[in-house]
Amino acid sequence: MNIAPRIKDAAETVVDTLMREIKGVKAVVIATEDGLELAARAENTAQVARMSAIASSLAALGAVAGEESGLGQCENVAIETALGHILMLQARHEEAGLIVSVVTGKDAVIGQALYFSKQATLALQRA
Amino acid sequence: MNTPATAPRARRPLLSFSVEGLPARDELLFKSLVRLLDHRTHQHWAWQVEDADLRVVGDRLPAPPEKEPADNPVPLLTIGETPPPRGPFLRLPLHADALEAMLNRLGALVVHARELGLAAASRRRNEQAAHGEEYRLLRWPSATLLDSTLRMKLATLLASRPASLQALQQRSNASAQECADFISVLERAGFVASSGGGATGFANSRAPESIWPDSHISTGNDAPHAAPPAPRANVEPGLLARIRSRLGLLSSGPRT
Amino acid sequence: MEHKILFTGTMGAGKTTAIAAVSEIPPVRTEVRNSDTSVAKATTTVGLDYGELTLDNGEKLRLYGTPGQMRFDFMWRILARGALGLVVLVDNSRPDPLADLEVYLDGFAELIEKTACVVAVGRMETHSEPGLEAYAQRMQDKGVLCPVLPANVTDPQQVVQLLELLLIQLEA
Repeated sequence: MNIAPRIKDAAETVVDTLMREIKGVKAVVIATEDGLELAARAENTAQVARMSAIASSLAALGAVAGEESGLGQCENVAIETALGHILMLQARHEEAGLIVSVVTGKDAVIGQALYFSKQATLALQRA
Repeated sequence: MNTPATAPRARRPLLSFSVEGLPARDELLFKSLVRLLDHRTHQHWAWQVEDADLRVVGDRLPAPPEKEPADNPVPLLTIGETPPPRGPFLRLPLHADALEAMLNRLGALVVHARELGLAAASRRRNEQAAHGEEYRLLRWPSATLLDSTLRMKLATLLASRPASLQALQQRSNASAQECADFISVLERAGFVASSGGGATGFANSRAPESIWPDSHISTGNDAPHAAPPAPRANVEPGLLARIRSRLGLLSSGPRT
Repeated sequence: MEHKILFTGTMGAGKTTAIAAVSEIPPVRTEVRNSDTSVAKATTTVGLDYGELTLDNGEKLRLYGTPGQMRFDFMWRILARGALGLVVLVDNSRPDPLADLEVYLDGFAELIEKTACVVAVGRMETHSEPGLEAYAQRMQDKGVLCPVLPANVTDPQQVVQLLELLLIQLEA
Protein backbone atom coordinates (compact mmCIF):
# COMPACT_ATOMS: atom_id res chain seq x y z
CA MET A 1 0.00 0.00 0.00
CA ASN A 2 1.42 3.34 -0.99
CA ILE A 3 0.11 5.39 1.94
CA ALA A 4 2.65 7.57 3.74
CA PRO A 5 3.39 6.63 7.37
CA ARG A 6 2.26 9.99 8.68
CA ILE A 7 -1.14 9.45 7.14
CA LYS A 8 -1.35 6.02 8.68
CA ASP A 9 -0.41 7.49 12.05
CA ALA A 10 -3.07 10.14 11.67
CA ALA A 11 -5.57 7.40 10.88
CA GLU A 12 -4.67 5.50 14.06
CA THR A 13 -5.11 8.67 16.07
CA VAL A 14 -8.48 9.34 14.51
CA VAL A 15 -9.66 5.82 15.30
CA ASP A 16 -8.66 6.29 18.94
CA THR A 17 -10.42 9.63 19.13
CA LEU A 18 -13.66 8.48 17.58
CA MET A 19 -13.85 5.30 19.67
CA ARG A 20 -13.46 7.51 22.72
CA GLU A 21 -15.73 10.38 21.82
CA ILE A 22 -18.72 8.98 19.98
CA LYS A 23 -21.50 7.80 22.23
CA GLY A 24 -22.68 4.33 21.34
CA VAL A 25 -19.84 3.67 18.90
CA LYS A 26 -19.21 0.03 18.07
CA ALA A 27 -16.51 0.21 15.40
CA VAL A 28 -14.40 2.67 13.48
CA VAL A 29 -12.63 1.74 10.26
CA ILE A 30 -10.44 3.94 8.10
CA ALA A 31 -9.74 2.58 4.66
CA THR A 32 -8.28 3.64 1.34
CA GLU A 33 -10.82 4.53 -1.28
CA ASP A 34 -10.02 1.27 -3.06
CA GLY A 35 -11.06 -0.76 -0.05
CA LEU A 36 -7.89 -1.59 1.89
CA GLU A 37 -7.94 -1.15 5.64
CA LEU A 38 -5.62 1.44 7.10
CA ALA A 39 -6.65 1.48 10.75
CA ALA A 40 -9.56 -0.03 12.62
CA ARG A 41 -10.97 -0.85 15.99
CA ALA A 42 -14.12 -2.73 16.84
CA GLU A 43 -15.97 -4.36 19.68
CA ASN A 44 -15.99 -7.47 17.60
CA THR A 45 -13.59 -7.96 14.71
CA ALA A 46 -16.17 -9.72 12.58
CA GLN A 47 -17.90 -6.39 12.23
CA VAL A 48 -15.00 -4.82 10.42
CA ALA A 49 -13.60 -7.63 8.33
CA ARG A 50 -15.35 -6.54 5.17
CA MET A 51 -16.07 -2.97 6.13
CA SER A 52 -13.23 -1.41 4.16
CA ALA A 53 -14.26 -2.93 0.87
CA ILE A 54 -17.95 -2.36 1.45
CA ALA A 55 -17.35 1.27 2.39
CA SER A 56 -15.30 1.71 -0.75
CA SER A 57 -18.09 0.43 -2.95
CA LEU A 58 -20.76 2.42 -1.15
CA ALA A 59 -18.75 5.61 -1.27
CA ALA A 60 -18.19 5.11 -4.97
CA LEU A 61 -21.88 4.53 -5.56
CA GLY A 62 -22.61 7.57 -3.43
CA ALA A 63 -20.34 9.56 -5.71
CA VAL A 64 -22.28 8.34 -8.75
CA ALA A 65 -25.57 9.26 -7.07
CA GLY A 66 -24.29 12.75 -6.34
CA GLU A 67 -23.12 13.28 -9.91
CA GLU A 68 -26.19 11.80 -11.55
CA SER A 69 -28.48 13.99 -9.45
CA GLY A 70 -26.40 17.06 -10.24
CA LEU A 71 -25.75 17.70 -6.58
CA GLY A 72 -21.98 17.51 -6.68
CA GLN A 73 -19.55 15.34 -4.83
CA CYS A 74 -20.67 12.86 -2.21
CA GLU A 75 -19.60 13.79 1.32
CA ASN A 76 -20.98 10.85 3.20
CA VAL A 77 -23.30 7.88 3.03
CA ALA A 78 -25.54 7.20 6.00
CA ILE A 79 -27.20 3.85 6.55
CA GLU A 80 -29.85 3.23 9.14
CA THR A 81 -30.27 -0.36 10.21
CA ALA A 82 -32.54 -2.13 12.67
CA LEU A 83 -29.93 -2.03 15.40
CA GLY A 84 -27.95 1.09 14.65
CA HIS A 85 -26.26 3.29 12.09
CA ILE A 86 -23.34 3.18 9.74
CA LEU A 87 -21.75 6.40 8.57
CA MET A 88 -19.22 6.49 5.77
CA LEU A 89 -17.43 9.75 5.18
CA GLN A 90 -14.97 10.84 2.54
CA ALA A 91 -11.65 12.21 3.78
CA ARG A 92 -9.94 13.69 0.75
CA HIS A 93 -6.28 13.94 1.50
CA GLU A 94 -4.41 15.20 -1.55
CA GLU A 95 -2.20 12.10 -1.61
CA ALA A 96 -4.89 9.55 -0.99
CA GLY A 97 -8.63 9.29 -0.80
CA LEU A 98 -9.73 7.78 2.49
CA ILE A 99 -13.05 6.64 3.84
CA VAL A 100 -13.96 6.82 7.51
CA SER A 101 -16.64 4.33 8.55
CA VAL A 102 -18.34 4.59 11.91
CA VAL A 103 -20.69 1.90 13.21
CA THR A 104 -22.94 2.81 16.12
CA GLY A 105 -25.74 1.20 18.06
CA LYS A 106 -29.26 2.54 18.32
CA ASP A 107 -28.32 4.54 21.42
CA ALA A 108 -26.00 6.82 19.46
CA VAL A 109 -26.92 10.37 18.70
CA ILE A 110 -26.46 10.73 15.00
CA GLY A 111 -25.76 14.44 15.08
CA GLN A 112 -23.00 13.91 17.59
CA ALA A 113 -21.51 11.01 15.66
CA LEU A 114 -21.59 13.03 12.46
CA TYR A 115 -19.97 16.04 14.12
CA PHE A 116 -17.02 14.10 15.49
CA SER A 117 -16.66 12.09 12.31
CA LYS A 118 -16.47 15.27 10.22
CA GLN A 119 -13.84 16.71 12.58
CA ALA A 120 -11.92 13.48 12.06
CA THR A 121 -12.03 13.76 8.30
CA LEU A 122 -10.67 17.29 8.50
CA ALA A 123 -7.82 16.06 10.68
CA LEU A 124 -7.04 13.33 8.18
CA GLN A 125 -7.15 15.71 5.26
CA ARG A 126 -4.53 17.87 6.97
CA ALA A 127 -2.18 15.00 7.79
CA MET B 1 6.03 -36.06 -57.02
CA ASN B 2 5.13 -32.94 -55.09
CA THR B 3 1.86 -32.17 -56.80
CA PRO B 4 0.24 -29.20 -55.12
CA ALA B 5 -2.79 -29.99 -52.99
CA THR B 6 -5.71 -29.53 -55.31
CA ALA B 7 -8.49 -30.02 -52.80
CA PRO B 8 -9.77 -26.75 -51.35
CA ARG B 9 -8.33 -26.24 -47.90
CA ALA B 10 -11.60 -26.78 -46.12
CA ARG B 11 -11.98 -30.24 -47.63
CA ARG B 12 -8.49 -31.60 -46.97
CA PRO B 13 -8.52 -34.46 -44.53
CA LEU B 14 -7.83 -33.34 -40.98
CA LEU B 15 -5.20 -35.54 -39.39
CA SER B 16 -3.52 -35.38 -36.03
CA PHE B 17 -0.02 -36.00 -34.76
CA SER B 18 1.44 -36.39 -31.31
CA VAL B 19 5.02 -35.87 -30.20
CA GLU B 20 6.93 -37.85 -27.58
CA GLY B 21 10.50 -38.13 -26.54
CA LEU B 22 11.80 -35.12 -28.40
CA PRO B 23 13.73 -32.35 -26.65
CA ALA B 24 11.49 -29.31 -26.19
CA ARG B 25 13.35 -27.27 -28.75
CA ASP B 26 13.04 -29.94 -31.45
CA GLU B 27 9.39 -30.49 -30.61
CA LEU B 28 8.69 -26.80 -31.00
CA LEU B 29 10.61 -26.71 -34.26
CA PHE B 30 8.75 -29.72 -35.61
CA LYS B 31 5.36 -28.22 -34.78
CA SER B 32 6.34 -24.89 -36.30
CA LEU B 33 7.50 -26.54 -39.51
CA VAL B 34 4.28 -28.52 -39.80
CA ARG B 35 2.33 -25.29 -39.44
CA LEU B 36 4.49 -23.55 -42.02
CA LEU B 37 4.07 -26.41 -44.46
CA ASP B 38 0.31 -26.44 -44.01
CA HIS B 39 -0.26 -24.62 -47.27
CA ARG B 40 1.58 -27.37 -49.16
CA THR B 41 0.71 -30.63 -47.44
CA HIS B 42 -2.08 -32.76 -48.87
CA GLN B 43 -3.66 -33.13 -45.45
CA HIS B 44 -4.10 -30.67 -42.63
CA TRP B 45 -2.09 -31.74 -39.58
CA ALA B 46 -2.97 -30.69 -36.06
CA TRP B 47 -1.10 -31.49 -32.87
CA GLN B 48 -2.80 -33.26 -30.01
CA VAL B 49 -1.57 -34.80 -26.80
CA GLU B 50 -2.18 -38.46 -27.55
CA ASP B 51 -4.20 -40.98 -29.59
CA ALA B 52 -3.21 -39.19 -32.77
CA ASP B 53 -3.21 -40.51 -36.33
CA LEU B 54 0.57 -40.24 -36.43
CA ARG B 55 3.06 -40.60 -33.58
CA VAL B 56 6.24 -38.60 -33.90
CA VAL B 57 8.93 -39.91 -31.58
CA GLY B 58 12.52 -39.17 -30.72
CA ASP B 59 15.14 -41.78 -31.45
CA ARG B 60 15.77 -42.37 -27.75
CA LEU B 61 12.37 -43.98 -27.20
CA PRO B 62 12.44 -47.74 -26.94
CA ALA B 63 11.13 -49.61 -30.02
CA PRO B 64 7.39 -50.22 -29.87
CA PRO B 65 6.37 -53.57 -28.42
CA GLU B 66 5.91 -56.38 -30.90
CA LYS B 67 2.39 -56.96 -29.74
CA GLU B 68 1.32 -53.81 -31.63
CA PRO B 69 -1.70 -55.21 -33.45
CA ALA B 70 -1.08 -55.38 -37.17
CA ASP B 71 -4.61 -54.43 -37.99
CA ASN B 72 -4.43 -51.17 -36.05
CA PRO B 73 -1.09 -49.64 -36.90
CA VAL B 74 -0.53 -46.07 -35.93
CA PRO B 75 2.33 -44.85 -38.09
CA LEU B 76 5.41 -43.99 -36.10
CA LEU B 77 7.78 -41.36 -37.43
CA THR B 78 11.15 -41.26 -35.74
CA ILE B 79 13.11 -38.01 -35.65
CA GLY B 80 16.70 -37.83 -34.55
CA GLU B 81 20.27 -38.92 -35.28
CA THR B 82 19.83 -42.68 -35.38
CA PRO B 83 17.36 -44.43 -37.65
CA PRO B 84 15.29 -47.15 -35.97
CA PRO B 85 15.53 -50.76 -37.25
CA ARG B 86 12.44 -50.10 -39.38
CA GLY B 87 9.88 -47.46 -40.03
CA PRO B 88 9.88 -43.89 -41.31
CA PHE B 89 12.75 -41.71 -40.14
CA LEU B 90 13.83 -38.12 -40.58
CA ARG B 91 17.28 -36.99 -39.67
CA LEU B 92 17.89 -33.80 -37.69
CA PRO B 93 18.22 -31.01 -38.62
CA LEU B 94 14.83 -31.19 -40.30
CA HIS B 95 14.51 -30.07 -43.88
CA ALA B 96 11.19 -28.64 -44.97
CA ASP B 97 11.06 -30.55 -48.27
CA ALA B 98 11.83 -33.87 -46.62
CA LEU B 99 9.25 -33.26 -43.92
CA GLU B 100 6.62 -32.26 -46.47
CA ALA B 101 7.20 -35.40 -48.51
CA MET B 102 7.11 -37.58 -45.41
CA LEU B 103 3.90 -35.99 -44.12
CA ASN B 104 2.22 -36.46 -47.49
CA ARG B 105 3.32 -40.09 -47.67
CA LEU B 106 2.23 -40.93 -44.13
CA GLY B 107 -0.91 -38.86 -44.52
CA ALA B 108 -1.91 -40.88 -47.54
CA LEU B 109 -1.41 -44.09 -45.55
CA VAL B 110 -3.62 -42.81 -42.74
CA VAL B 111 -6.34 -41.61 -45.10
CA HIS B 112 -6.32 -44.94 -46.93
CA ALA B 113 -6.59 -46.85 -43.68
CA ARG B 114 -9.39 -44.57 -42.68
CA GLU B 115 -11.27 -45.16 -45.89
CA LEU B 116 -11.13 -48.87 -45.19
CA GLY B 117 -12.52 -48.20 -41.76
CA LEU B 118 -14.81 -45.49 -43.04
CA ALA B 119 -17.58 -47.81 -44.09
CA ALA B 120 -17.65 -49.29 -40.59
CA ALA B 121 -17.47 -45.88 -38.91
CA SER B 122 -20.15 -44.34 -41.06
CA ARG B 123 -22.42 -47.32 -40.46
CA ARG B 124 -21.88 -46.84 -36.77
CA ARG B 125 -22.55 -43.13 -36.98
CA ASN B 126 -25.70 -43.66 -39.01
CA GLU B 127 -26.92 -46.03 -36.34
CA GLN B 128 -26.06 -43.53 -33.67
CA ALA B 129 -27.81 -40.76 -35.54
CA ALA B 130 -30.87 -42.92 -35.98
CA HIS B 131 -30.95 -43.49 -32.23
CA GLY B 132 -30.59 -39.77 -31.58
CA GLU B 133 -27.17 -40.43 -30.15
CA GLU B 134 -26.09 -37.39 -28.21
CA TYR B 135 -22.56 -36.10 -27.96
CA ARG B 136 -21.18 -34.27 -25.01
CA LEU B 137 -18.12 -32.13 -24.91
CA LEU B 138 -15.52 -33.23 -22.37
CA ARG B 139 -13.44 -30.11 -22.51
CA TRP B 140 -13.07 -27.09 -24.74
CA PRO B 141 -11.32 -28.30 -27.89
CA SER B 142 -7.81 -27.29 -28.95
CA ALA B 143 -7.72 -24.08 -30.90
CA THR B 144 -6.33 -25.88 -33.98
CA LEU B 145 -9.59 -27.80 -34.31
CA LEU B 146 -11.64 -24.61 -34.18
CA ASP B 147 -10.39 -23.42 -37.51
CA SER B 148 -13.61 -21.77 -38.63
CA THR B 149 -16.27 -19.55 -37.12
CA LEU B 150 -18.73 -22.36 -37.73
CA ARG B 151 -16.70 -24.85 -35.71
CA MET B 152 -16.33 -22.34 -32.91
CA LYS B 153 -20.12 -22.02 -32.86
CA LEU B 154 -20.68 -25.78 -32.96
CA ALA B 155 -18.27 -26.25 -30.08
CA THR B 156 -20.06 -23.52 -28.14
CA LEU B 157 -23.40 -25.24 -28.72
CA LEU B 158 -21.95 -28.50 -27.43
CA ALA B 159 -20.44 -26.73 -24.45
CA SER B 160 -23.83 -25.61 -23.26
CA ARG B 161 -25.46 -29.03 -23.44
CA PRO B 162 -25.08 -32.43 -25.07
CA ALA B 163 -26.61 -32.56 -28.51
CA SER B 164 -27.38 -35.03 -31.25
CA LEU B 165 -26.24 -34.41 -34.81
CA GLN B 166 -29.73 -33.32 -35.73
CA ALA B 167 -29.91 -30.90 -32.83
CA LEU B 168 -26.56 -29.38 -33.76
CA GLN B 169 -27.70 -28.92 -37.30
CA GLN B 170 -30.97 -27.33 -36.24
CA ARG B 171 -29.34 -24.87 -33.89
CA SER B 172 -26.60 -23.74 -36.22
CA ASN B 173 -26.12 -22.86 -39.86
CA ALA B 174 -24.17 -26.05 -40.45
CA SER B 175 -24.99 -28.83 -42.86
CA ALA B 176 -25.39 -32.40 -41.65
CA GLN B 177 -22.01 -33.26 -43.15
CA GLU B 178 -20.26 -30.35 -41.45
CA CYS B 179 -21.71 -31.40 -38.10
CA ALA B 180 -20.75 -35.05 -38.61
CA ASP B 181 -17.23 -34.15 -39.71
CA PHE B 182 -16.70 -31.91 -36.72
CA ILE B 183 -17.98 -34.54 -34.30
CA SER B 184 -15.63 -37.08 -35.89
CA VAL B 185 -12.70 -34.76 -35.48
CA LEU B 186 -13.61 -34.07 -31.85
CA GLU B 187 -14.08 -37.75 -31.12
CA ARG B 188 -10.72 -38.68 -32.58
CA ALA B 189 -9.07 -36.00 -30.53
CA GLY B 190 -10.83 -37.19 -27.41
CA PHE B 191 -12.77 -34.02 -26.76
CA VAL B 192 -16.21 -35.47 -27.13
CA ALA B 193 -17.92 -38.65 -26.04
CA SER B 194 -21.26 -40.01 -27.03
CA SER B 195 -23.82 -40.40 -24.33
CA GLY B 196 -26.69 -42.85 -24.58
CA GLY B 197 -29.58 -41.81 -26.79
CA GLY B 198 -31.54 -39.13 -25.03
CA ALA B 199 -30.45 -36.69 -22.38
CA THR B 200 -30.40 -38.92 -19.38
CA GLY B 201 -27.85 -41.68 -19.87
CA PHE B 202 -24.13 -41.02 -19.90
CA ALA B 203 -22.85 -44.45 -20.90
CA ASN B 204 -19.98 -44.04 -23.32
CA SER B 205 -20.36 -45.69 -26.69
CA ARG B 206 -18.92 -49.17 -26.90
CA ALA B 207 -17.66 -49.15 -30.45
CA PRO B 208 -14.04 -50.32 -30.56
CA GLU B 209 -12.73 -47.30 -32.41
CA SER B 210 -13.97 -44.91 -29.79
CA ILE B 211 -11.59 -43.28 -27.44
CA TRP B 212 -12.05 -43.28 -23.70
CA PRO B 213 -10.96 -39.76 -22.94
CA ASP B 214 -12.01 -39.81 -19.33
CA SER B 215 -9.39 -42.38 -18.49
CA HIS B 216 -6.63 -40.40 -20.19
CA ILE B 217 -7.45 -36.82 -19.61
CA SER B 218 -9.33 -36.57 -16.38
CA THR B 219 -7.45 -36.36 -13.13
CA GLY B 220 -9.44 -39.28 -11.85
CA ASN B 221 -12.10 -37.11 -10.36
CA ASP B 222 -15.15 -37.68 -12.48
CA ALA B 223 -17.46 -35.64 -10.31
CA PRO B 224 -17.60 -32.53 -12.53
CA HIS B 225 -18.66 -34.63 -15.51
CA ALA B 226 -20.87 -37.17 -13.79
CA ALA B 227 -23.79 -34.92 -12.88
CA PRO B 228 -26.31 -34.24 -15.62
CA PRO B 229 -26.31 -30.61 -16.77
CA ALA B 230 -28.32 -28.39 -14.45
CA PRO B 231 -31.49 -27.10 -16.08
CA ARG B 232 -30.65 -23.76 -17.59
CA ALA B 233 -32.43 -20.75 -16.17
CA ASN B 234 -35.22 -19.90 -18.59
CA VAL B 235 -34.53 -17.03 -20.89
CA GLU B 236 -37.34 -15.29 -22.70
CA PRO B 237 -36.72 -16.44 -26.30
CA GLY B 238 -37.47 -13.15 -27.99
CA LEU B 239 -34.90 -11.41 -25.81
CA LEU B 240 -31.95 -13.27 -27.27
CA ALA B 241 -33.08 -12.51 -30.79
CA ARG B 242 -33.42 -8.83 -29.90
CA ILE B 243 -29.94 -8.78 -28.39
CA ARG B 244 -28.56 -10.42 -31.51
CA SER B 245 -30.22 -7.86 -33.69
CA ARG B 246 -28.99 -4.97 -31.57
CA LEU B 247 -25.42 -6.26 -31.74
CA GLY B 248 -25.71 -6.59 -35.49
CA LEU B 249 -25.36 -10.35 -35.42
CA LEU B 250 -27.06 -12.63 -37.91
CA SER B 251 -29.65 -14.85 -36.36
CA SER B 252 -28.62 -18.41 -35.64
CA GLY B 253 -30.67 -21.35 -36.82
CA PRO B 254 -30.82 -23.52 -39.91
CA ARG B 255 -30.37 -22.22 -43.40
CA THR B 256 -33.86 -21.76 -44.82
CA MET C 1 -37.45 -6.80 -16.94
CA GLU C 2 -33.83 -6.96 -15.97
CA HIS C 3 -31.45 -8.04 -18.70
CA LYS C 4 -27.80 -7.90 -17.80
CA ILE C 5 -24.46 -9.35 -18.71
CA LEU C 6 -21.51 -9.28 -16.35
CA PHE C 7 -17.89 -8.68 -17.11
CA THR C 8 -15.32 -9.72 -14.53
CA GLY C 9 -11.60 -10.27 -14.29
CA THR C 10 -8.49 -8.87 -12.63
CA MET C 11 -7.50 -5.22 -12.49
CA GLY C 12 -6.32 -4.19 -15.91
CA ALA C 13 -7.88 -7.14 -17.70
CA GLY C 14 -10.14 -4.80 -19.64
CA LYS C 15 -13.60 -4.93 -18.09
CA THR C 16 -14.19 -1.21 -18.32
CA THR C 17 -12.72 -1.16 -21.83
CA ALA C 18 -14.88 -4.03 -23.02
CA ILE C 19 -18.05 -2.34 -21.83
CA ALA C 20 -17.01 0.96 -23.33
CA ALA C 21 -16.46 -0.80 -26.66
CA VAL C 22 -20.12 -1.73 -27.05
CA SER C 23 -22.09 0.53 -24.73
CA GLU C 24 -24.34 3.21 -26.21
CA ILE C 25 -23.60 5.52 -23.33
CA PRO C 26 -20.18 6.39 -22.01
CA PRO C 27 -19.80 3.86 -19.21
CA VAL C 28 -20.58 4.92 -15.66
CA ARG C 29 -17.44 4.17 -13.73
CA THR C 30 -16.58 3.90 -10.08
CA GLU C 31 -12.84 4.12 -10.43
CA VAL C 32 -10.66 5.40 -7.64
CA ARG C 33 -6.96 5.68 -7.06
CA ASN C 34 -5.23 2.35 -6.73
CA SER C 35 -3.26 2.05 -3.49
CA ASP C 36 -1.98 -1.48 -4.21
CA THR C 37 1.63 -1.05 -5.21
CA SER C 38 1.89 -4.58 -6.56
CA VAL C 39 -0.21 -3.67 -9.58
CA ALA C 40 0.97 -0.93 -11.91
CA LYS C 41 -2.37 0.63 -12.56
CA ALA C 42 -3.41 4.10 -11.51
CA THR C 43 -7.05 3.41 -10.88
CA THR C 44 -9.31 0.53 -10.00
CA THR C 45 -13.03 -0.17 -10.09
CA VAL C 46 -14.54 -0.42 -6.61
CA GLY C 47 -18.24 -0.43 -7.28
CA LEU C 48 -19.20 -1.32 -10.77
CA ASP C 49 -18.91 -0.22 -14.35
CA TYR C 50 -22.15 0.29 -16.15
CA GLY C 51 -22.98 0.46 -19.82
CA GLU C 52 -26.13 -0.22 -21.74
CA LEU C 53 -27.65 -1.09 -25.07
CA THR C 54 -31.22 -0.35 -26.03
CA LEU C 55 -33.10 -3.16 -27.73
CA ASP C 56 -35.66 -2.59 -30.44
CA ASN C 57 -38.57 -2.91 -28.03
CA GLY C 58 -37.15 -0.25 -25.76
CA GLU C 59 -35.83 -2.62 -23.14
CA LYS C 60 -32.27 -2.23 -21.99
CA LEU C 61 -29.47 -4.73 -22.00
CA ARG C 62 -27.29 -3.66 -19.10
CA LEU C 63 -23.58 -4.37 -19.06
CA TYR C 64 -21.96 -4.45 -15.65
CA GLY C 65 -18.28 -4.64 -14.85
CA THR C 66 -17.41 -5.93 -11.40
CA PRO C 67 -14.46 -4.94 -9.28
CA GLY C 68 -11.69 -7.49 -9.76
CA GLN C 69 -10.20 -7.93 -6.32
CA MET C 70 -11.50 -10.67 -4.09
CA ARG C 71 -12.25 -8.27 -1.27
CA PHE C 72 -15.15 -7.04 -3.38
CA ASP C 73 -16.74 -10.45 -3.76
CA PHE C 74 -19.90 -9.16 -2.07
CA MET C 75 -20.30 -6.99 -5.18
CA TRP C 76 -19.87 -10.08 -7.33
CA ARG C 77 -22.82 -11.68 -5.58
CA ILE C 78 -24.96 -8.58 -5.83
CA LEU C 79 -24.17 -8.02 -9.49
CA ALA C 80 -24.55 -11.69 -10.42
CA ARG C 81 -28.19 -11.80 -9.38
CA GLY C 82 -30.37 -12.27 -12.43
CA ALA C 83 -27.51 -11.93 -14.89
CA LEU C 84 -27.87 -13.65 -18.26
CA GLY C 85 -24.23 -14.63 -18.42
CA LEU C 86 -20.65 -13.82 -17.56
CA VAL C 87 -17.58 -12.81 -19.52
CA VAL C 88 -14.34 -13.52 -17.66
CA LEU C 89 -11.43 -11.45 -18.91
CA VAL C 90 -7.96 -12.78 -18.16
CA ASP C 91 -4.75 -10.81 -18.53
CA ASN C 92 -2.10 -13.21 -19.80
CA SER C 93 0.69 -10.81 -18.88
CA ARG C 94 0.13 -11.35 -15.16
CA PRO C 95 2.32 -13.77 -13.17
CA ASP C 96 -0.27 -16.56 -12.81
CA PRO C 97 -3.24 -16.05 -15.10
CA LEU C 98 -4.56 -19.56 -14.54
CA ALA C 99 -4.80 -18.86 -10.81
CA ASP C 100 -6.56 -15.59 -11.64
CA LEU C 101 -9.05 -17.50 -13.76
CA GLU C 102 -9.75 -19.91 -10.91
CA VAL C 103 -10.66 -17.03 -8.62
CA TYR C 104 -13.50 -16.03 -10.95
CA LEU C 105 -14.59 -19.55 -11.81
CA ASP C 106 -14.94 -20.12 -8.06
CA GLY C 107 -16.36 -16.71 -7.24
CA PHE C 108 -19.07 -16.96 -9.89
CA ALA C 109 -19.57 -20.73 -9.80
CA GLU C 110 -23.30 -20.59 -9.27
CA LEU C 111 -23.87 -18.05 -12.03
CA ILE C 112 -21.70 -20.03 -14.44
CA GLU C 113 -23.54 -23.23 -13.73
CA LYS C 114 -26.98 -21.68 -14.17
CA THR C 115 -26.29 -19.51 -17.17
CA ALA C 116 -23.41 -19.14 -19.60
CA CYS C 117 -19.80 -18.07 -19.52
CA VAL C 118 -17.04 -17.11 -21.92
CA VAL C 119 -13.37 -16.84 -20.98
CA ALA C 120 -11.46 -14.26 -22.99
CA VAL C 121 -7.69 -14.17 -22.68
CA GLY C 122 -6.05 -10.84 -23.40
CA ARG C 123 -2.48 -9.90 -24.29
CA MET C 124 -1.72 -13.31 -25.78
CA GLU C 125 0.01 -11.64 -28.74
CA THR C 126 2.79 -10.50 -26.43
CA HIS C 127 2.43 -13.19 -23.76
CA SER C 128 1.71 -16.54 -25.35
CA GLU C 129 2.04 -18.64 -22.19
CA PRO C 130 -0.01 -20.09 -20.67
CA GLY C 131 -1.54 -21.19 -23.95
CA LEU C 132 -5.17 -21.97 -24.68
CA GLU C 133 -4.52 -25.69 -24.10
CA ALA C 134 -3.55 -24.91 -20.51
CA TYR C 135 -6.71 -22.88 -20.05
CA ALA C 136 -8.92 -25.61 -21.51
CA GLN C 137 -7.22 -28.17 -19.30
CA ARG C 138 -7.61 -26.07 -16.14
CA MET C 139 -11.25 -25.47 -16.90
CA GLN C 140 -11.79 -29.17 -17.44
CA ASP C 141 -10.14 -29.85 -14.08
CA LYS C 142 -12.64 -27.48 -12.52
CA GLY C 143 -15.58 -28.99 -14.36
CA VAL C 144 -16.34 -25.79 -16.26
CA LEU C 145 -17.23 -26.16 -19.90
CA CYS C 146 -17.32 -22.96 -21.86
CA PRO C 147 -15.50 -21.27 -24.73
CA VAL C 148 -12.02 -19.94 -24.07
CA LEU C 149 -10.35 -17.82 -26.71
CA PRO C 150 -7.92 -14.96 -27.17
CA ALA C 151 -9.51 -11.52 -27.39
CA ASN C 152 -8.46 -7.91 -27.60
CA VAL C 153 -11.28 -6.01 -25.95
CA THR C 154 -10.26 -2.67 -27.37
CA ASP C 155 -11.78 -3.99 -30.60
CA PRO C 156 -15.58 -3.72 -30.50
CA GLN C 157 -15.96 -6.56 -33.00
CA GLN C 158 -14.16 -8.93 -30.69
CA VAL C 159 -16.30 -7.92 -27.73
CA VAL C 160 -19.39 -8.54 -29.85
CA GLN C 161 -18.00 -11.98 -30.68
CA LEU C 162 -17.69 -12.75 -26.98
CA LEU C 163 -21.28 -11.70 -26.43
CA GLU C 164 -22.38 -13.85 -29.34
CA LEU C 165 -20.74 -16.91 -27.79
CA LEU C 166 -22.77 -16.20 -24.66
CA LEU C 167 -25.96 -15.91 -26.70
CA ILE C 168 -25.30 -19.20 -28.49
CA GLN C 169 -25.08 -20.98 -25.17
CA LEU C 170 -28.24 -19.34 -23.91
CA GLU C 171 -30.11 -20.22 -27.07
CA ALA C 172 -29.17 -23.90 -26.91
